[in-house]
Amino acid sequence: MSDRNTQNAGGDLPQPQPSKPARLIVDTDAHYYENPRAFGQYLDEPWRTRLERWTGLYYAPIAAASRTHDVHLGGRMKRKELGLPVTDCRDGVLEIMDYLGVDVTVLLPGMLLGIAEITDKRRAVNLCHGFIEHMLNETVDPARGVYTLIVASTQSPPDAADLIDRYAAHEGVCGVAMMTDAPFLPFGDNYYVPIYEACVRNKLPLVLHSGYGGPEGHESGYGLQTYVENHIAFVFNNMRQMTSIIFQGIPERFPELKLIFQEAGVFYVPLMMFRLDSEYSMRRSEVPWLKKPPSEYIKSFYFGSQPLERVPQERYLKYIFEMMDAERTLLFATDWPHSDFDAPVVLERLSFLSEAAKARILGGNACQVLRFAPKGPLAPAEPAPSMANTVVGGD
Amino acid sequence: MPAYIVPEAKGLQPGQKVVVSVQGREIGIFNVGGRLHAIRNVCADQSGPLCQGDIFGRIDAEVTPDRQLREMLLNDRPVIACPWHAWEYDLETGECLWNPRYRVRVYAVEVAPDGTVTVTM
Repeated sequence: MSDRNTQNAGGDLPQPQPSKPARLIVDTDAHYYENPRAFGQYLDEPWRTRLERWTGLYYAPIAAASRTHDVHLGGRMKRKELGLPVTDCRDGVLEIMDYLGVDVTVLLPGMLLGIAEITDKRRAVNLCHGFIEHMLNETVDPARGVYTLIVASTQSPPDAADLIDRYAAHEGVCGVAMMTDAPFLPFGDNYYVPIYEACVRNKLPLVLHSGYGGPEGHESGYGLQTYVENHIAFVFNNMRQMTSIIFQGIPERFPELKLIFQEAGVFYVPLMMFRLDSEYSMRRSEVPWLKKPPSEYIKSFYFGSQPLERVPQERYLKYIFEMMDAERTLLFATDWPHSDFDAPVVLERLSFLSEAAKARILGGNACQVLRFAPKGPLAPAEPAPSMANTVVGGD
Repeated sequence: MPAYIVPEAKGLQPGQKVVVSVQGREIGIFNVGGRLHAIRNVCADQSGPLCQGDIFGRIDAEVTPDRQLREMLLNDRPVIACPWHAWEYDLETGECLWNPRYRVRVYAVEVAPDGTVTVTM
C-alpha cells in the first residue's frame, strides 16, 4: 500500500496520543543497538583485534526469538519503516525520547541482553567492558537524561565486580544489570556474592532483566515453538531468580541492595508473593534465615511496568497494583525499541491512579532507586522568584 | 449522519491510501482491490498511528475433522495491522481480530460517478 498523500498525517513522525503530560517521565528500560566491532578500541589485546575481526555471532546463542523468528510478523509491525530513529547513537536516543515523551532514559545494550547465555567467559567479560566504555565515551549524557547500566558478566562475578568498581563513579551510570535468563546457577547462590558486594560498596541498584528461553535458548522455554509461546519465558526467568534470591537469603545478607526486576509485566508479582508465602508457611525450617514472609521481601523490590498486561476490566489491574504496592514499587519502562514496547499512555490512562501515583510510577520511584545525577531533567527546581517586590492585585 | 467530500481520495488507485483529517478526525482511506475503506487513524491499544500500517489478508485457521489445525490466508478479508504492535483490525467492521471487544471506527465510503469520494461520519 503506497502513501499517495500524507500531508495531513501528522508531520514527519507520528505522535503518540494523548500528548505528553507535564510530569517527569523516566523510562527505566530502553535498549540500544550497539556495534560490538566499535568496542574493540577500548580493550586490550588480543580482545581488541579479536572483536574487531570476529567472524561469528558475537553473542550466540542469544535470544532465539530475535534471531530466527518472524519478529515483525511479515511487515505487520513496521516502526523502522515509519522512520523512527534507530537507537544506536546519542542523537537517535534523544530523538526517540522526544517521540515517546520521555525525559530520562536508562539504556541497556540490545545484544548484551542475551549475554548470560554464552559460555565463553572471557568474551562475556570483554564485551561488558567494551560496552560500558563505548556508552560512557559516546552515548550517555546525564545533562540530557541519558544513562546506562554496567552489565555484570554472570559468567565471572569477580571480573564483574572489578568492572563495577572501575566505572561506578561515572555519573552516566545509574546502576548495574544482570540478565535473568542466565542458565547457570540461580542468583541466590553464593557464586554471585562478589557482584552484590560491589553494588552495595558502590551504592548502585541492581537491575535483573529478563530474556528469552527456547527454542534455542536455555531450558526455561525448552520445547516452546513460536515467538508468541517462548516470550513467556521472560516471566519464568524472573520467577526463577526471584525465588532463589529470596529463599537463599540475599535480602537478609544484603539489606542495602536495591533490586529492580525488569520486563515481565506485573501480574506475576502477586502470584510470587502469595505462592512463596504459602510454600514458606509450611517449610520455614528449610530457610530459617528468612525473617519475614517472602511477600514482604518482594515488596521491598522494584518492578518495571513493561509489558503491562492488557486486561478486560481496569479493576483487575487495580487489584494487582494494590497487592504489589505499585505506587511505591512500580517503575515505568518502555522497552523501546522492542516489539512489545509500552508508551506512557498505558499508565497515564489508568483511572484508578491518582495524579500523585502516576507521577511516582512514571518517574518519582525511579528517582528514588536509580542513581541519577542532579542535572538536566533531574536538576533541582529553581527557587521560586521572590514576591517581595511584586504588586499583587491593583486598584 | 452527514457525508463529507474528501478531495484527496479522488482517483485513489488499488494499493493506494490517503490519511486525511475530516471534521477534526484523522482517518485513513484505503483502496483495496478497487474498493474503498475508511478507518480511524487511532489504534485501540496505545493510540498508535493505525493507518500508517499495511493491509494484509486475514490469516485464519480451522480444526479439521481429524482434529488437526489447518491454516488459511483469506485475501478477500482485508485487515489493517497497526505498525506499533501489529494489532489487526477487520477493515469492514473495525473489529480487532485478537479480541472483538476492541474496535476502531470505520466509515461508509461512497464514490460518485465523477469520482468524488464521500465519507459518512
